[in-house]
Amino acid sequence: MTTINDTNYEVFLLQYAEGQLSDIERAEVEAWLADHPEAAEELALYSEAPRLECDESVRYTRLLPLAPQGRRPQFTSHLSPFLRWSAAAAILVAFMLPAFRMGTMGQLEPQEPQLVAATTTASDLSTPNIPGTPKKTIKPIDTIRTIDIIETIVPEEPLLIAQEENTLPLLPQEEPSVVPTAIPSESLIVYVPAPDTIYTNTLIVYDNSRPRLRDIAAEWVEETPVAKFIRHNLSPRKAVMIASR
Amino acid sequence: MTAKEYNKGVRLWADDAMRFAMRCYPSRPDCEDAVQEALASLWSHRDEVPQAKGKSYLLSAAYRSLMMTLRHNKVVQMHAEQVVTEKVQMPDERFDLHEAIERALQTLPEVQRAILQLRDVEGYSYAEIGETLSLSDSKVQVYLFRARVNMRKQLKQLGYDNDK
Repeated sequence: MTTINDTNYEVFLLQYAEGQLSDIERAEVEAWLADHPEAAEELALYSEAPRLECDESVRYTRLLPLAPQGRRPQFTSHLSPFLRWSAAAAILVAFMLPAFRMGTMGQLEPQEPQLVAATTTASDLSTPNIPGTPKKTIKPIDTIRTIDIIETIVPEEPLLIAQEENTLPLLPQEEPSVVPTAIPSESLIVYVPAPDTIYTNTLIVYDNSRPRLRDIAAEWVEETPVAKFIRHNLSPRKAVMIASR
Repeated sequence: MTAKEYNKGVRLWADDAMRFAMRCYPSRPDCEDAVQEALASLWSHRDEVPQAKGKSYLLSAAYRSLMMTLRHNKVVQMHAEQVVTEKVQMPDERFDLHEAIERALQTLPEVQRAILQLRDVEGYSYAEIGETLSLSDSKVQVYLFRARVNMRKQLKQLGYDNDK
């Protein structure tokens, strides 16, 4: 057993103050303190020092509320099969009708000049349609760069989760049962648009303090067709898991 | 640790980790980064870390991350310490006790603040503190003793005697 001396006295004094010494050791420390008044003063200071208390006001704010585990957002469950098929048929007709009309117009009225539609752009007006020349083709939606869409959706400020909870696509009436999950620093969280879910936008959550993530997000989304995620119908939790890899 | 246990742990421990980090280095963005990285680290090593050790792993990872940040910000930190020291040495300035304790704490080295937080708030044993901060038991006791003595000295300088 080591005895108290000038190099180890702090450990002894702490154990003395905390009542962790035997009676013999206490007597030894008291005898040593009698010859070392500076150390005795330190012991008094130690005993007088206030203990720290828990500051409940300090909270970690980067928690992400996610949909409860084991549940997928299902919008279609609210519709009867008849309504679902009706909606599908309506969409089909809406897409097919213009194509059908354009086809018939091309056959029946090839020499008629085209009327300027309300949606005609300035560039269309600058080059008047000449009968017999090929029509201008409208750029299909699916060729729009996904990153353009992302730029319009992602806000300038980083999504601080706790402060902007209302912007997250939480399931209706399920907020009390959300499961918070931390966002790993190297993660991209992608919410996937899917026609049969409540999600209507692609939303990327990234940490603005790490510009590299923004580049990765842009590259990743650009290379990955949104249609893939629509087909897979990913839940946010799955998206998080994929993004965390 | 399973994914479910991890999620539960995040809910239980994230605030504690944040308080611990803020005690070591009171800069909210740096502390949130440190806790975030610690949570990510815990997720990566969840298969190796049992749930019982999850919290101490989290605190330990946050501490390591924070210390790395501190080294990067060394110049800024030195400047901040000078400012705090100057303020502490002003005898006429009066604070309430809570603020005085906070100011006194800022004069201590980070490791001593971390030990005080783990001991007083988390209720860790010397061995647990040593494991979390990678220190021996005797070093933990020495630092704890010095932390309390120095904090009491600073409080006296601020005009807080034993009865206040």
